[in-house]
Amino acid sequence: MSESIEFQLAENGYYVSTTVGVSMRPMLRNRRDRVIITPVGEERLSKWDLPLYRRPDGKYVLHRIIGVEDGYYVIRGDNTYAKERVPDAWVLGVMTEFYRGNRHVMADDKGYRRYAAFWQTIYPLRKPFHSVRMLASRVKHKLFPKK
Amino acid sequence: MQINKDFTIQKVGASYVAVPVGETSKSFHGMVRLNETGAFLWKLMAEKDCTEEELVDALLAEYEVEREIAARDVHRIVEQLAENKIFI
Repeated sequence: MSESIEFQLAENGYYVSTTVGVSMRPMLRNRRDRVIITPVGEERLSKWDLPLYRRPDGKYVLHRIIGVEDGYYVIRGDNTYAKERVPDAWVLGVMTEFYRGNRHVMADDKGYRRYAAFWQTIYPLRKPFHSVRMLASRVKHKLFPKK
Repeated sequence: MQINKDFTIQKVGASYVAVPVGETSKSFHGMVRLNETGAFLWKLMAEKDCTEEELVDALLAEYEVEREIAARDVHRIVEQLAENKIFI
């Protein structure tokens, strides 16, 4: 059970895991939703794909491709603001399907691809929206403190 | 035996894979692969507490198989799940 993700991808041809963290919210929720990852082949991934990659510090990350460049991908989580440059060599696999609760979604589903494109396109609006929501939450707690 | 509700089963191609969700996913890292028989038994044990005998009977009602083989399969799968601490 403790084999590495790399081993499981090579041995089984897929890897299934519960997602951890909030960087892919609202699509993937912390310790609730599940992703199915398959190994990457020779072909390069496309914009809006979700690669699973391993940073040099050993951390595994599943974030979205927002740009495909020569030898690397530009990547950003759906709920993060910073871009990351990820060399092809870091990429272990790509999400081919996921379960959001009991709902099963294929990564090549047209509706899902539209959602991914939309969510990344409205990126400039996310930060102010998030700030307003946080401010509203603080005001609410100040006016109506929990007893 | 009853399956811990912090585990869920997914179909991946021709196989089935059980993974943890919620708090259990903090301590259990990995996945448990099951065949179709394993997935069938899993669903029964997810619904209610079952004995091996009940699982064998359910398997015999679903598949054309000899009791001895069904009992061996049930025992093997129950052991696999017990080793992974998947029961409540």
